[in-house]
Amino acid sequence: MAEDRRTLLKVITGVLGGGAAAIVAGPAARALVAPVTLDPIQGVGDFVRVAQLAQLPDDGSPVNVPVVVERPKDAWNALPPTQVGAVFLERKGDDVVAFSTICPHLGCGIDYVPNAGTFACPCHESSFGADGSVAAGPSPRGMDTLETRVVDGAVEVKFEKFLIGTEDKVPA
Amino acid sequence: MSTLSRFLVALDERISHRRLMKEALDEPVHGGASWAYVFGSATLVVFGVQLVTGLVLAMYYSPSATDAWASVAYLERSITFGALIRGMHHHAAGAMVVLVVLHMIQVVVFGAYKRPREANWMSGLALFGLVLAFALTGYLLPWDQTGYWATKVATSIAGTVPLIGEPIQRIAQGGNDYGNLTLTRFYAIHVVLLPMTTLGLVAVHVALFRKHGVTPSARLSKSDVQARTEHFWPRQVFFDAVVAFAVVVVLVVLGARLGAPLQAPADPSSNFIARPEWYFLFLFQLLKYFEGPMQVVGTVVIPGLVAGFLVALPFLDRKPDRRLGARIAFLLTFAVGLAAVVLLTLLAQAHDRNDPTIAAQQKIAAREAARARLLAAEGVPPAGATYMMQQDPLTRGERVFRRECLSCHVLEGEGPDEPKGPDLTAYASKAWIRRVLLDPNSPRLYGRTKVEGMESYAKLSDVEISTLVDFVYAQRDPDAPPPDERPGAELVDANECGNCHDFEEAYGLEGPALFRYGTAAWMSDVLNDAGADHLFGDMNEMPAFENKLSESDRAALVSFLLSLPERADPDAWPFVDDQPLPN
Repeated sequence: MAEDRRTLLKVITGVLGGGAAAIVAGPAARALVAPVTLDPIQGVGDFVRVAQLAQLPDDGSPVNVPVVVERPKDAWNALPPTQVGAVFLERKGDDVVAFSTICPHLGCGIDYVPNAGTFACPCHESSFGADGSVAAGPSPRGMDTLETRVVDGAVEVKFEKFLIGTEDKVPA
Repeated sequence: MSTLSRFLVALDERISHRRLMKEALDEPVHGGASWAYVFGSATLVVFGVQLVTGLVLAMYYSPSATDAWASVAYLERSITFGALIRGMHHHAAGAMVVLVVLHMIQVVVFGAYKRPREANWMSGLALFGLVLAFALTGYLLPWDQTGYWATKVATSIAGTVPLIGEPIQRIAQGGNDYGNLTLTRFYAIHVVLLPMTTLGLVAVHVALFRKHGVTPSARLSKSDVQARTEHFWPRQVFFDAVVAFAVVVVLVVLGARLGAPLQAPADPSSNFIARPEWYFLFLFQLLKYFEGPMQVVGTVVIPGLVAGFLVALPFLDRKPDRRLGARIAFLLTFAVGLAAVVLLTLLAQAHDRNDPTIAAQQKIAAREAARARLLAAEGVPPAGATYMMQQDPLTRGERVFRRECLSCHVLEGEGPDEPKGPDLTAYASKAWIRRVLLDPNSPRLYGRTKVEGMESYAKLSDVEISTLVDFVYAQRDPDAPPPDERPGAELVDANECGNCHDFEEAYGLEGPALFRYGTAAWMSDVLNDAGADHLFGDMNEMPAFENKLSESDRAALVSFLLSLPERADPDAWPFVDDQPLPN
């Protein structure tokens, strides 16, 4: 067979083989990386009513309250009212400060230690002052505060999540 | 030497890839490259497509009775290229069957099953079996009506096998009935067991093929075979690449244009007419010919004989002569079997095409599927997609309607030949009201009932009729002006409509009160007791459903009745045999 013809065959074979692989792998790869822009969890992140102002202790000591969302969505499911997380609330007069219970270090759940009046993360022993600032341990930043507002005596919290492990508080 | 070449040399010292490539590509093709040899490699390429698309599907799929359908609908709706990938996977399953059969025909025609290639042949048959097992298990996974009911038939057939049937059925479906364990089981088989087995068996099949090489056409003389023998690369690879590329393009086009079907979620309480995928239709058709105790002939004996014949073929046809003329009996048997499969498939398709019941069912199925997807877009409750549909008033209402109403009323062409009540197509729509005004005593309206006394208003002009229609239609609008201030009030007076119909309250005159006509409350009144004084009174023959149906069934039925104007074809009334009316 002439060398030219063999070369042509090789080129066409390569193009066809590569083309077939590309038109299958391309859409498949795109479908696989869809979560880069996809938000399957929905309905979480808005202001949620979590407590009555009057129920919070006047002395400003923190209270752990659940965050219940009315109808969150998880991909194909629309769920009934569901507890999607928790926050610490501290009353400051007519205002409320809210802390996320998620440790900014690596995302474990933070506990309140009433006797010491501090917060502590049991995973890697970060501890935080009552104002949320880092007291000891590896956490790169203080506890994340959440936006709050008081509507007709009810405390509402904007239940956001932030990037874990960074020095700055950046919405996730 | 360039950096790349130096790297390749260094790599070759470590992994010998050049020798591997050479061994793969320099394999001799006895008698020369041929288009006849492309089917095996094409099947392998499609299997590769299944692995890739299957991986994507698995990433978005949830094998549970409550979530499976919803997760598939989610993939179709929300994931870029999700519907395309699923469509390709679906059509590639059919392509696998087609290519394997073509491959088998080529092997049979060339006599390539003969000694010393008996093991090639049988490993190929086993792979064919695996392809069918893939198709069968994959069909159930979306947990939609077709998958559920068709697969149910398949496992029930397994259950009819004498002696061992029941334990086999229980093992296959994961217990005493279909549920979560059926799906986890089918999923594990489909995505773990079958792919691993197939990969292993493909390795065996290809190794055996490499050991014995291709079987050249029997028409070539020994010297021709020798003279034409060439390496696998490049000509045979080229042929394979052309076909593989064409097949993949066809799959992408089919996937993009047709997608994969997704019926409504599986509902064990429905009476869905199940049909298997087209490549199993011949088995389905075969079942129709064997009744009662003979059923096992269609389910086990005949398929068993066919499989037995194929397995035994190399041992039955032992003469080394591969020419067609020397093997007439075997080739004929094979061809007759193949023709029978084609014929049975065509018969099954022809039967379904000509069966009005099937056509009607398909219409309902299509509507329920569309409805299910619409509801699923708002989120499926954790109780599952089947529950979602059973709770949907429209879906439930239609089922109640079919059960309770279709024996006396016609709807969109379906129903009794001599209906006792009015045709409810587009019920209470403007078109329906117009029809009542023009020809109330038509056999398709109140002509066959005891309801009488209303005359035709066909003598009025088109504009006047339209005005009256709008007047009556406005009865359902809470924001409409009161009847006596509404356009058309004089026309209503002039034609003495109010002598028989009360428009201002639910008060019985000669005819039914049209107070709030067309609202849920009015429909509910008619359903509960159409013989009430303010409705049809003594002229009524319809049962009082207040005592026959539960409150929720009646509410669902009302929702369904309210949906009739919108879902009916705008031209649906009159839609069949109505004579044009005299002016």
